[in-house]
Amino acid sequence: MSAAKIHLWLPDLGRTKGGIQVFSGFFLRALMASLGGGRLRLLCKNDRADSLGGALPNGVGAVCAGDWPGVTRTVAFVGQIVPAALRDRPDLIICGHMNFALAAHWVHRWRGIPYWIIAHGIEAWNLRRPGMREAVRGSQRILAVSRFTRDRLVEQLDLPPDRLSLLPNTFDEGGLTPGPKPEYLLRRYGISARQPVILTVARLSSPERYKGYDKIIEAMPSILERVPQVHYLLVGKGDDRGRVERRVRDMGLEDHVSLAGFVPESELCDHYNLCDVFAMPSKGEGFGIVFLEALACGKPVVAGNLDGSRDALCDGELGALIDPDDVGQIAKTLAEILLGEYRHALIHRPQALRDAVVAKYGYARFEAQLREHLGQLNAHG
Amino acid sequence: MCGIAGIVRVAEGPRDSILETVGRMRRCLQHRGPDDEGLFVARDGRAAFAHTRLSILDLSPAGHQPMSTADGRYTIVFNGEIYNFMALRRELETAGVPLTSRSDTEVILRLYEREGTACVRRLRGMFAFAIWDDIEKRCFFARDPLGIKPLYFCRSADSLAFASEIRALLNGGAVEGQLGMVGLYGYLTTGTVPEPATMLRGVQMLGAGHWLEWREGRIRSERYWGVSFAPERMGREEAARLAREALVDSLRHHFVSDVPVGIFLSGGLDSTTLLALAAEAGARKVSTYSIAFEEPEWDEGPLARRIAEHFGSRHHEVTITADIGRGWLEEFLDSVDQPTIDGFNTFCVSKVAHQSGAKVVLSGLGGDELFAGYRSFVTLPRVVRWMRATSLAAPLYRAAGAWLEGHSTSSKTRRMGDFLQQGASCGAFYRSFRCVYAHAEAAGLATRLLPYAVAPGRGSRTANPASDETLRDAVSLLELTTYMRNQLLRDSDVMSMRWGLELRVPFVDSALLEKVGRIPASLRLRPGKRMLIEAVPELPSWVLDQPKRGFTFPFERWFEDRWRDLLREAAPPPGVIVDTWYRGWALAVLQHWMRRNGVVAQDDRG
Repeated sequence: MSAAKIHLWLPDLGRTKGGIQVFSGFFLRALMASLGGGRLRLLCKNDRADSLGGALPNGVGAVCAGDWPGVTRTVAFVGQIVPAALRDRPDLIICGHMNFALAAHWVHRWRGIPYWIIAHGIEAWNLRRPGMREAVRGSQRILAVSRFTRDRLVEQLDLPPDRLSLLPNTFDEGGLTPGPKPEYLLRRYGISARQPVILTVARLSSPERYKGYDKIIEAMPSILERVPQVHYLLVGKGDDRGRVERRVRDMGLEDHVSLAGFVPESELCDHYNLCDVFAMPSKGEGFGIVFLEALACGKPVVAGNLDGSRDALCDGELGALIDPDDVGQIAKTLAEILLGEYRHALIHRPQALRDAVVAKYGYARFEAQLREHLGQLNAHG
Repeated sequence: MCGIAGIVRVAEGPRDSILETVGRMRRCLQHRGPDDEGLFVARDGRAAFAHTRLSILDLSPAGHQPMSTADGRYTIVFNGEIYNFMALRRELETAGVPLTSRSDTEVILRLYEREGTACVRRLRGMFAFAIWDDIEKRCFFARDPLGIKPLYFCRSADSLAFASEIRALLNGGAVEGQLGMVGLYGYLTTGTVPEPATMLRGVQMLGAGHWLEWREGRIRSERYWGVSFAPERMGREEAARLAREALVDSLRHHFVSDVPVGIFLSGGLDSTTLLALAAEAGARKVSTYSIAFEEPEWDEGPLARRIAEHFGSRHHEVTITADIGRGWLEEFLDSVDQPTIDGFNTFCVSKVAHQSGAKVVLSGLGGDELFAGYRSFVTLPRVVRWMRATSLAAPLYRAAGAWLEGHSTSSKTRRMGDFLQQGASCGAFYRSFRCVYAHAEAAGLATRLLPYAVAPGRGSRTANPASDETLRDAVSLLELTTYMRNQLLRDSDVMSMRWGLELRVPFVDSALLEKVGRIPASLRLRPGKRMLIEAVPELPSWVLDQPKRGFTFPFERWFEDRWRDLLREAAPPPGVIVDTWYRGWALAVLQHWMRRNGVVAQDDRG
């Protein structure tokens, strides 16, 4: 794509480490690499200009609305992105979140500037507001991070399938490698090296209870019957913690569950290596980068079969997909994996798991895919 | 009476390695059985048992353990005594079962062979045993009805290891020493570790009155006996006659031994009862053992001497001063199997008995629980009734309770606050009555050691009697199944076995309990143990007049004075009040035990 001018609207880049933020970072990087002589203008809703420095590639400046408090921030951000687009007249606007589609749609109507939307997950599955539905329908292209999200959109909005492209999530495989169980973490959680560990990494926030950690807690008694020393380690913090603690108490699992709380990025790989299986039977994943991270560490993964997790696990090619509501199946699958009885081509072969996930979802593949999409834009004029 | 240990595993394996581990476990149990030791390993290496023996019945080599049936199918390791083994033996012989020894061990083995899991219902006594079936490749474990003999086990997907003491599992290498939240919290609230939890993650105590069958890594377990009362209408005299018969019968069974049986004499009603009924139960010229103190308020020495003289026993007494006690303390702490705030008294008196050459001694333990010897029998019904009568004020109680627990500077008031927040249940009151640290303090202390674990909730593990038709029965049930089982019996086992001494507890007997359980609570649980006194008129009046002291030591005095430095080591964290000796002692014992056994908490700094 030669000398194009692009405006990229992102929710945030550097503030938190959620799935959307991580994706946005990779997207920015891949976009810069594919842009050639083109120019990019970045507008971030929730970041503050002074805290963004490190997250930006060279030569890219950003306009941020993160200094505005609460609801005023949305108004302020619209006040930034719309005039900037009207003034600059970019060749393309890319909305890093579906919520920005409405503003892009207006700009399109006034000035004819084409816009793309990145569709991550749950925000795109149930579009009710007519204005939003129209704004999404009016986009020139939707980049869906998973087939699941793509199919939901096609179904809801009756879109021509060629309007949607897939740009699956990617991850930084470089920092993640299979390794022995780290001694310092065994000591920290009081776990013996012989003890099988189930790991979940998820925010414990009440709106995100769909992550399925509850179901694993419920499954623990039956897993314990077959794998008596099994320990469940739940990494993540949030306002749902009190409820999780009560659940653990009610089930009498105080000796079998540890709540790690917040874990810094630098320790994440070690946590994956501490476990014997990574499980998150979620019902609301747009994709689930954590699955890729665990796989890159060579760990067996268990995920739900009702959402974007199916994409992350390539329909079961990379791990076990289970019904996230079926506690019995969760228990059975986890026990079988821990006992080495689960029948699967890759799941008990760490290096093969890593190779497969890097080949499917490594950054190189991501960049190539984005380049291809942008090339199509160019070809279509 | 012995020490047992073993491992069973799903797959065949090398015999050397399993024998080595089991051998290490046996060495950790040597003190329990100095007379003999034995090892067994199955041909395919699927099972290995170890045994250390204290010979009481059938002193000959025929009583050697592990013991196998002639065909090699079944092998047993057994710790305990079966008091009705003679009757069972006769029954087996009549049925044509050939018996080769005079031991109770063989009786269990043969009974299991014939009756399977149901055999446990036939056994009267104290026991913990394991039987390996080499054909079915399964292992059967059982523990006595009231939980006198311990049996710890830890399980992985492909094996199960068990032992009479948790330290044998730990130091034998069957388990790693990670502190468990449930056991720790239980210890901080009650001063002992409530079964089936233990201080170690992954290790459990087989419940009292339970059996467990292991097969190819899977287990099934069942409770075959539980404490219950079935009151019948009867008058005072009939009740007294029934209680006496039951006591004499139990005592007669408890005197079955091939070595002399002595009695721990405290000066209280229970141990005096044992001595008073000894002759009727068939014992001649028994030896009695007691401890005296320099502190007159605690000293039962003179009283015990007078009782011994009155009934004509051969009496042994040792005076323990603060300095002597201090000298024995290190040895005591090293003997602790799981942390406990009690047990020193049993340690001392067992040491004395051991040094006087005794091998089997009876203790009056259990009399208070059966015949209302504790203050709880009076206080609990009163408080619970009052709380129920004023149930409209429950929200007020809860609010006041929360405030008291959070703000009071007295441990007693904090405990009261803890109780008020739980409503008018027997379990809740009992818990705060017997509690060391109230809920919030215990949860806080436990979370300091295990910051990533979830502490149990308030009252979540309090035993609550299913029905409290009579509140005194409820107290009796709680005392029997919590304080007596987890604290008194466990300490008695560990501390007597430390000295290779068999402690027998005639009041803690399922047959006795079933009989006296027919006496309604209104008669059996009258305050001041009236029932026991009426059943045993031989008790001299000058014993009845004594204030209750139990078998207690002048700890309060010693910790204030000569033992003060011991508590300083384990300084409590901010916000934790240590205004009674046992609160500080609980922390000191825990710290010592963890250090001594290499048990680790979660490492927050990690």
